Amino acid sequence: MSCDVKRVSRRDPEKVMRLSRLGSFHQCRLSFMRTLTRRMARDNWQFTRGVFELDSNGVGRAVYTATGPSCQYSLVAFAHDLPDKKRSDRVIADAWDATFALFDGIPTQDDVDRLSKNIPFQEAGRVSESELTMSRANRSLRLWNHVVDALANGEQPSIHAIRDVGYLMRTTAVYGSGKFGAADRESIEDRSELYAPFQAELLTVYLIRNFVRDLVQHVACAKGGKKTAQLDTDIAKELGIGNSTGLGMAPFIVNHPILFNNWIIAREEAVARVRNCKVASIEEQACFAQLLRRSEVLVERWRSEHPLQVNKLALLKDDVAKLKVYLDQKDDWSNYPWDQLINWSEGALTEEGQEFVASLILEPYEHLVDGLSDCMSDVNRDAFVIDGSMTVAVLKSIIESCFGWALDFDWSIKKHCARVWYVSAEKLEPRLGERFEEPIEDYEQPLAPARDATLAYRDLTAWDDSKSGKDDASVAEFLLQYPQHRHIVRRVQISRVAPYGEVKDNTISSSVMPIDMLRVKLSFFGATHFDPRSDRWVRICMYAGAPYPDELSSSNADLWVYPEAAA
Amino acid sequence: MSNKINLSLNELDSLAKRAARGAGYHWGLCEEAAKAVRWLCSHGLDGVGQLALLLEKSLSQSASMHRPLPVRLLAANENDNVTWQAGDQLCPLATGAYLSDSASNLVGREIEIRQLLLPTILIPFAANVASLTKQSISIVCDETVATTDGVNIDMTNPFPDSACDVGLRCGVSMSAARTQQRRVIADTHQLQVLQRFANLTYAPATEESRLTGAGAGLMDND
Repeated sequence: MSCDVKRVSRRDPEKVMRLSRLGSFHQCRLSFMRTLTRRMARDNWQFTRGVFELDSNGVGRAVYTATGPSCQYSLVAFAHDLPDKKRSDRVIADAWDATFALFDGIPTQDDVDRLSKNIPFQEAGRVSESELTMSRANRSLRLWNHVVDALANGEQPSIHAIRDVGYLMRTTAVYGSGKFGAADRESIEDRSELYAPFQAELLTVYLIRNFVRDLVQHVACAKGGKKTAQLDTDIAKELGIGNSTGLGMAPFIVNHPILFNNWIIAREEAVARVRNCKVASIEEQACFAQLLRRSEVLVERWRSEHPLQVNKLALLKDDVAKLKVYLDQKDDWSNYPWDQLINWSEGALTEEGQEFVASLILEPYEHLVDGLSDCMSDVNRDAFVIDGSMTVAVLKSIIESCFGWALDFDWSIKKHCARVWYVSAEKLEPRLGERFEEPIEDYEQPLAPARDATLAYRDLTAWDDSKSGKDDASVAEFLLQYPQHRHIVRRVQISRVAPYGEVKDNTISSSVMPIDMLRVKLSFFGATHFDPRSDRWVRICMYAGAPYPDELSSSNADLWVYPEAAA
Repeated sequence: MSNKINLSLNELDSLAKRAARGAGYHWGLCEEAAKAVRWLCSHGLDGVGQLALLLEKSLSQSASMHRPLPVRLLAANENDNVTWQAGDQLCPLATGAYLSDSASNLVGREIEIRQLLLPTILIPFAANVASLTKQSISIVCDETVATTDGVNIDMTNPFPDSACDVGLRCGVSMSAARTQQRRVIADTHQLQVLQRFANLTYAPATEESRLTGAGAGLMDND
């Protein structure tokens, strides 16, 4: 391997940050689940089940503790007897099959008792700074009873049924970072194991998966008695944890421009580093080829009923076929082969296929890629403070650079501003409504940066003209007169340090697809099997194929996301 | 006796931002309000109570009357001291934001602020100036003094709820610092005030929004 770091730059934000492309992102080496499992294996984390008090209906409590080099974290699980009619993935639900907290340390009986009075009620309860996350999950009706019945009858569940669904339970929220009284991220981010984004949340899900395997076995044993079969370990490994995600996640990437930038720029830097490798060794070629074969299995098992995703999947399969032909015909791996591949993909493949390739070329290059995980958090709290000494002329030039694509839009035309992001009084959740059909405009959230930047630009221009083109007029003076632009001026200034922090599309357009915003975030978590259920909520699978805690080792901690090709 | 509740700083940040919005402030100033309250509470000061008092003043209804007047904000000569005032009492959020925005112009000057409401809320903005200019700042509020280097604050007595004269001086020295807090122990009555304003930002649910706004559609229990 040799690299010329100057040959290829990171891809242009104008290209990367379009919603259709972000909505085609795939997991990669930098995904947060893989970061977590690699770390836990490397540091030889130990896992124990301290409490497992469940009745024959599977109702009760359990505690699972993960022990790292310096800290312990415990999943406190409460399993409930939920009537089928109360089961809903929607955030408006008020009861769940199971509810969870991630406790900082090992909880005492008093802690568990306290949590039992709060966690089952989720948003209606309170947690404390001893809790890092709060979560809940529902059984998959399609798979739960099938697995319980099969095991109780002394049989293994159908592998086809397992693969059709992918999980026994799906989470419908994993709250962290201070929500409902939990510990702030700022209070735990100095721990190396929690420094990367969403590590506490994804540790929660990893332990939930372990609990769910134990729970289904427990319920099956209660039903089947002595004849009950033990769930086969290979089948169990294919089971992930589902997640049903709605609009609550979409504003996140707009509300955290620096964090979002850091995720995207890390992946773009990784792609650029690999493209700059002049030669791909035999081992690197083999790694890529092997994981391409395993990716084909992943794509083959990817199920969706949504017409948009059905179409994207068909095109992705075509893209993979084209990729194989390209690779079969490729005989020169000594002249920047990955750059050639990316360039070819941009002309030959769909965006779904291009991003599939961009993620996959990172796999052979642990030494070039994995260290970038350390750059994906946001610790730049100073960026919030506006630089009032900046001149209006400079501010305008930054707007032109960051939002130039939007400055000619007529934002009074209905199709450009058809939607409104708002928060409902009912459950305090983000929703997307129709500006011209619903009485919601007064409640609009600041989630349309392109429109806001355009409006600010026009006022800046008019104000600048009124001051006879005084280029040295300051942002401080402008904002004193136009406080309505303070929010977007802050964002514009942040874009100087976060070139990938802004989506380069209209987030309130009549044609905006919120699922694109969900997918890009979930891809960085490491999710697979994106299955949109409408234009604004999506199901995914997490940890499918991952080793359980008792199996986790350096040999299986990373590539578990790719199913074995022979399976 | 009122009850207390233990909040995370992120919870408070989120609530304060929404409350300020509910009281009619523009989003950018709401963000400043949230960060200011967070800063105060993380230094053991009563950010929640101060914001509750401010929002009940309804200054945003006549915002232009409560921000520093747009003429002669800075003195003609480089080292002249400056005075800020408004047609009415100054809003500490509008004044604080302008103070923070003007940081680079304030080095070496003294600033006098006349008729400032809830001067405690100005402190986090002065802390921004201290951080940006890398020198401590003292805030003299009538007879009471606070000093900040941006990160820490030395403040013995609380500021009054309004001040005739607030003076800011850069380049002072700082002695003791208050212990920083990772949680907020807030008065429930004051939180209820913030919550009441925050509630004004939530759209009343309609059947249409329930069905389509969050994108239900396909079966969610299967």
